[in-house]
Amino acid sequence: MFKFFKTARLSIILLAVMFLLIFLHYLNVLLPAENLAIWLLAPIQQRVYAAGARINNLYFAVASQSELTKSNQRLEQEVANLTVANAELKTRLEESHELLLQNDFLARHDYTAIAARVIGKNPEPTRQAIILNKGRQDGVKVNLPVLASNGVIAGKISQVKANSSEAVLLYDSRSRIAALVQNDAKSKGVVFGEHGLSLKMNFLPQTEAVKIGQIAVTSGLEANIPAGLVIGKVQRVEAESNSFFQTAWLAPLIKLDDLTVVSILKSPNDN
Amino acid sequence: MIINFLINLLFLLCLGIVQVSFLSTWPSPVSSLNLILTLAIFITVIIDYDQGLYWALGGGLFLELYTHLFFGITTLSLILAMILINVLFSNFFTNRSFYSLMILGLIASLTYNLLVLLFQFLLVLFKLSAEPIFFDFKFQFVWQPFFNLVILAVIFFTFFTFTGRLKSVFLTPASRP
Repeated sequence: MFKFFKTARLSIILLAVMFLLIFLHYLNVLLPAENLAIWLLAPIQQRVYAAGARINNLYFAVASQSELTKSNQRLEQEVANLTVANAELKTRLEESHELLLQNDFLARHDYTAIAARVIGKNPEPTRQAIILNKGRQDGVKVNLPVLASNGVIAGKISQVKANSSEAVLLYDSRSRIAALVQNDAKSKGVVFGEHGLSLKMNFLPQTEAVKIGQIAVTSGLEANIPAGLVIGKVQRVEAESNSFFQTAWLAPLIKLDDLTVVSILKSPNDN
Repeated sequence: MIINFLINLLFLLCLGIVQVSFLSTWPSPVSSLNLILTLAIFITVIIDYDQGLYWALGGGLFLELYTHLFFGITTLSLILAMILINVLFSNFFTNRSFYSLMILGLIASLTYNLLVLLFQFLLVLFKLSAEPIFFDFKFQFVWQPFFNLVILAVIFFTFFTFTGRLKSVFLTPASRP
């Protein structure tokens, strides 16, 4: 007989505990404990996330310097040291600047929004989503748009908890957003995320001219998402003669990987 | 007992935070590394199976807070992966060697990802979830196991260097029969 059965008792007990926890979770009995844990850990995670993003940026900075000659190495080291020394200050300045830009944009368009900090990313490798420190208690709802910068949309809220939420980024494979290209015909289509890497705009009519460099913005056809939020710039257009539609590939105007503060645009009905 | 529990809990929380808030900022595919799974494998194979199971439960519950998956999938997959490697270890492996750890680590990483997919599939099949299943073979079945094994090797050698258990032992003339 397998030796396994000698040690099976604890395994069975833990599996039973897990099934009990699943049951309690869906009865919402565990919700206060889950919310408390997220609330307690959020400040630590915020700092760890900022440190991780800084190290990541530093890594890329150092990696890109490898091609320089030896005479530049001393100078590079000094730059790296200064970068580390000033990193925290820079992060705070960038955040303030970002918030000012976002506030300015919101004020100009008479939008109301919830400012949120990024405290982590979804741990699943196939999902490009960020975790924010604002949740249901702050008025966050599913499908509200998340703005990254001066009117640039970063994604949509996909999941809301009491004091945290998750936003799926535009280039996640699950992301879909109604959009139009700012050309003469105002060509409408749908922007899809492609494998967490790029943005593809489908269903653009063949009869309408879409050119490289034109800007794609939200069309306003989706509930909660106003028209005119910038998605990206047309990088490549593919039109096949036997198809009704053409496809455009978009380049995001900002880097979505190292967001630290965002604005969640409230629905006009909530104001 | 309580101190041991608190130390384990603190270590688990630190590791969980590093997993969710630190590693996730790193470029792909390094971000695919699953530290909780790696530590649970190491503890199950090298230290103690019971403790490994507790780690799988605790670590899984921590990850449940931040994953969009149906509650319980991550933890159940972790626990079942630990049970499987314990069965294999008890019946088919002779000692707690580096090679055993690597093989069981690979099996556990693949099993964990396979179970996550299987549970998602079952939920869709029984109409308990409408979430589409996204499957990335390279990420889940190549890069994640690879990085998990690298970290397992690092932990193995660090652990045995600090505990001194890896020192070669030779028979001295006095000890010979």
